[in-house]
Amino acid sequence: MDLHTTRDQDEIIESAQEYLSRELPADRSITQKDTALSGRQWRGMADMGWFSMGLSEEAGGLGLSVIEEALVMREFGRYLAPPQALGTMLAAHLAVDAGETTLAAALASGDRRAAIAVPAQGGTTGGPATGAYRLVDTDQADLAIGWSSAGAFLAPMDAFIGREVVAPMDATLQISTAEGLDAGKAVWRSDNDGLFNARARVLTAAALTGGAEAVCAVSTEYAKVRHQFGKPIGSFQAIAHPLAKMATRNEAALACLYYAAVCVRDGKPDRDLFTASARSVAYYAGYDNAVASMQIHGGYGQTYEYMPHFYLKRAMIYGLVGGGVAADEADVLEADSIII
Amino acid sequence: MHLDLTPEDERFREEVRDWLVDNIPKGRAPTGRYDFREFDMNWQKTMYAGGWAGISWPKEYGGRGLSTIEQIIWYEEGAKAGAPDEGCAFVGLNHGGPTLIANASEAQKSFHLPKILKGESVWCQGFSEPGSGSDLASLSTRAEIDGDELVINGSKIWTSYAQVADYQELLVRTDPEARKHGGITWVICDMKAPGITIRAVPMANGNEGHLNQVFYDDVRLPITNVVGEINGGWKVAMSTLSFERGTAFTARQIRLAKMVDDLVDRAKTKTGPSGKATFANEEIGRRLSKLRAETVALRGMTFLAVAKNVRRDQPGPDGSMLKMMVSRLGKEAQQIARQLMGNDILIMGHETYEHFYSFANSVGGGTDEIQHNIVAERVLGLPKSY
Repeated sequence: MDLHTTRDQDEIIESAQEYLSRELPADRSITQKDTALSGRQWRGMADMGWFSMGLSEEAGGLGLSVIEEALVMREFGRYLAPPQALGTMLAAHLAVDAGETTLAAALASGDRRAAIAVPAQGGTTGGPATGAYRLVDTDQADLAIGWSSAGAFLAPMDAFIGREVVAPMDATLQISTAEGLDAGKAVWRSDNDGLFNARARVLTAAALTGGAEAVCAVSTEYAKVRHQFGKPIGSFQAIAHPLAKMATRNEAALACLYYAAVCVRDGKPDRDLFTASARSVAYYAGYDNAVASMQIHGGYGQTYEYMPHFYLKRAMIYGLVGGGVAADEADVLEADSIII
Repeated sequence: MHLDLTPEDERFREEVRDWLVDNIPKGRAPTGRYDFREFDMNWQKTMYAGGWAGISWPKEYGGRGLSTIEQIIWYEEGAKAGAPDEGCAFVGLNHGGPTLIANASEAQKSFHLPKILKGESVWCQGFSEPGSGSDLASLSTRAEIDGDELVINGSKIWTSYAQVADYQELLVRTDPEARKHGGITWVICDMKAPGITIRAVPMANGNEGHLNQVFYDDVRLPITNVVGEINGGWKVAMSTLSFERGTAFTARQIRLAKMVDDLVDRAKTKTGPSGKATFANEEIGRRLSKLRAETVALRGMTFLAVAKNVRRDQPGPDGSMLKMMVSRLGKEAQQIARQLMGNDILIMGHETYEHFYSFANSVGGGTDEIQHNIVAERVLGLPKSY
């Protein structure tokens, strides 16, 4: 029993932080005009092996596990990497599972990108629903992936009927709507063993956890330098205690994420309980921390030029994808017992 | 990163399970003023006789000398099997004993530690005072040095189990001139010493067998009862507070998990006034799900803290985060239970009784406010906020 990262895993985290802090610092969001990473930026991420690290070596991947993928995804959350990164990582797995090797290779190499599709009415459906969709992070994406506990589909962008780019909730991303989906053009795979959804939950939880940690760090830094009444505001319990709550939510989210990721890698019987719990706990960490951060930043927290709202919006997005937190919450209640 | 137990640990778990099945006493501990001591000590004696007392304590003092993982397995399996709470043995096992192990003289250790493990002595804690709660270091119970004795005058409060205790870990002020943390001494107090008066402090649920106020009127203790240095008591006390906030919560977590399972089952079957399952009430459903997911996360937090502890010299502030979570979730579980109980909350049965206890979780063993301060300072590096 050892829930700590290994030396190799620590190196994966360090190299991701080193790369992202240089190439994609989170505060780029404030001045960012484009709603997609450039081809050079995207290929740079692909060259780090991040979109294929969890694929087997026969499938052209690095043969690493969902744990290593989650560690990278946590950094993506921290640095506000676009949700396409989650979509593309998952799409590569789906393509391999469905025997679409050329497609998998194109996703892994950074040639193709997958946006994330969610049904307009939310909820989960068996098979790709043919109804209306909301599509997250569509700029430069030529595919979109959608999933639930029933299964996952990957569709070319032209399979979405009546697609329209709309005013985005998160101005760093392109959001589209579609009136329907031509399901015949989509690759669909039932998730019979639940492994796809388990991986998706872990990776989504990881992105949420990284965001929750980052917004806590940003707020802590602010509380140390912002002075009122002649002191740093972090020396007032009205500020320090909400920050301590944020740190505690981070710890719970990270610990549950690690536990869930090991369950997925090793096929533990408690896998679904822990993955559903991990996304739920990470979602509330991400969302509640961002809300608290907006308050701690006072007037600045309400402005576009400070970081809290970026993390708030990402937490909302990662809470909606793949059947949404509501599906996880229902599954948490489904379990007969939580005594391990 | 893995969740696998070693074959030895797996065997250990099997042995624990087998032993528990045959040895767990029937019934609950009595809730009167004094009657629980016999029940709690009998259980401790049974565990000692079976070789299960002090799993992670050193062998030379009667423990098993095993690791934290085995200690956790023991707590988990005990709670799962419905073993009694440590009850009035708690302070000796989780606080007094570990403090002695870390700080006491050989003579003190060899006298007291086996008695704690054998269920022969009950310990209580003498830290808080009527005027010193969260600001513990402001304590003012005096100890004058008179030859080879300390003469104690003052009062302690919130003392769990004082009325049945044999010994107390007592913090006294030996140097009123020193800076406040500097003039404190940690001394073993014999609770039968002349000059001690104990007054029960009844709790919100009517329980009179838990909290007490203790008065010291020229109580004389041999100076050899001092643990650590005279005026060095703050360091001694702090050395094990984080211990209390660590693995000692494992059993409570399992009991919480059982309670949450029970709440989910009840919400699924109970119907509300409208005739619909309480479960269909979205608010209860969401609250229960969040509570359950966070209770699941506690298991990860425990093992993550253990993994960090084996890589550092002393436990970090993780224990404070764990304590805050366990307290909050325990209170939330009791709030949901109150909704499910409906008007039966009017009857002071076991459930209602436990309901009123839940409010003490975020106060006892260091208030939530103090835990927040610890996390703000030690995890986030924020300036002192008081």
